[in-house]
Amino acid sequence: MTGLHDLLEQAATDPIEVDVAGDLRRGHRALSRRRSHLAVGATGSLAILAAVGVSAVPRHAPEVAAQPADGSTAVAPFQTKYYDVPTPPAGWHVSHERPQYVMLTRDGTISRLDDFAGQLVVIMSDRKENYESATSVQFDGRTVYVNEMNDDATILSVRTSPGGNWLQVQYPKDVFPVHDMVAFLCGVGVEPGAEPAFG
Amino acid sequence: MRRETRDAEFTDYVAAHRVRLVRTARLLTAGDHAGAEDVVQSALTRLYVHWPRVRRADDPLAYGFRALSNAFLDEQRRAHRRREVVTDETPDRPEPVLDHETRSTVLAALGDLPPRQRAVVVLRHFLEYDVAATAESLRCTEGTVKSQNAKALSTLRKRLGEPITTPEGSNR
Repeated sequence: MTGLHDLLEQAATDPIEVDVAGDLRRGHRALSRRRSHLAVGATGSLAILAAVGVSAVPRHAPEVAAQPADGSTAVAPFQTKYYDVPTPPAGWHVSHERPQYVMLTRDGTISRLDDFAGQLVVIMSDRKENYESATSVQFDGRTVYVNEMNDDATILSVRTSPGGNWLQVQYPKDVFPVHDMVAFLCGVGVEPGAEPAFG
Repeated sequence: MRRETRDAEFTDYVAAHRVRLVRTARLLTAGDHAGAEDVVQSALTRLYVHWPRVRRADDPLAYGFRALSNAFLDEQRRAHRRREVVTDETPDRPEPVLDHETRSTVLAALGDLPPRQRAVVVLRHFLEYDVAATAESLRCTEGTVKSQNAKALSTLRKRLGEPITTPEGSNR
């Protein structure tokens, strides 16, 4: 008679080299890619709302210009399904959407699905995640947490409702004032079909 | 969080746990060393990206094993799609560094199990998770864990050709 645990221990033992630097390099690259994928263009949302004849202004839309300064609004409006996005910042438009996130991209630039680097992205995370051990600000009765603010990006988090899932916005450093993004994040609505991303 | 802090904590984590993660991955991949390394790299990359969550987790190592299991099952799904292309070539098998008959037999037996059954066996009998923790890691019900575990143990007992024992109650 042999213990299965012992058999598995024997089967798993072989010399193993640990390359921590390699793991760190891969982590850096992945984080950079993710962050570039999270920039969400908000300008497009306004165009979408206008295109479908929606007159209501999102509750907490930041006070930003509705159109790019050069008038180059030839980008086809992007119709969001899972997220009701406030008026995007000037010069940005909604570019991509999945049930887990909506992405906004700077006008005149190219973005790819699932590539958050340099983009403005609002992503939903599970209610069980703990983002509350961070600096917070109050906005319209809601608590918004500043989870990351470093050389790459800033990430803010707010619950969709008390005890509900999280909405997080990630955007490139120094592109938007934090208070504008707090207002923008709190203005995002969640529609049926949206679902939390797995971290 | 600051990158320096993230890097320092992640480095400590990798130094402390990578060997255990690799050994677990080698069982998950039934001895495919290259495949195991890919799975570990994928899992660790995910952990780095989501490090703020990892450091807040009640059990960061358990978080790592969960990421590892998910990376393995994701890879199996992709591999299944790739198997649409038929080839005469025999898949590469690792050269055992220590040519141990028991090891080869056990790894071959694990290789006969479907990926999810293999994952259940590794979590239940190598990492010694209970049913609930295994279910949580694999994102399935406890009933699924029990049934998959029972099927896997039955196969292993036949395949290994000798009675194998498990702690009381862990044959579910």
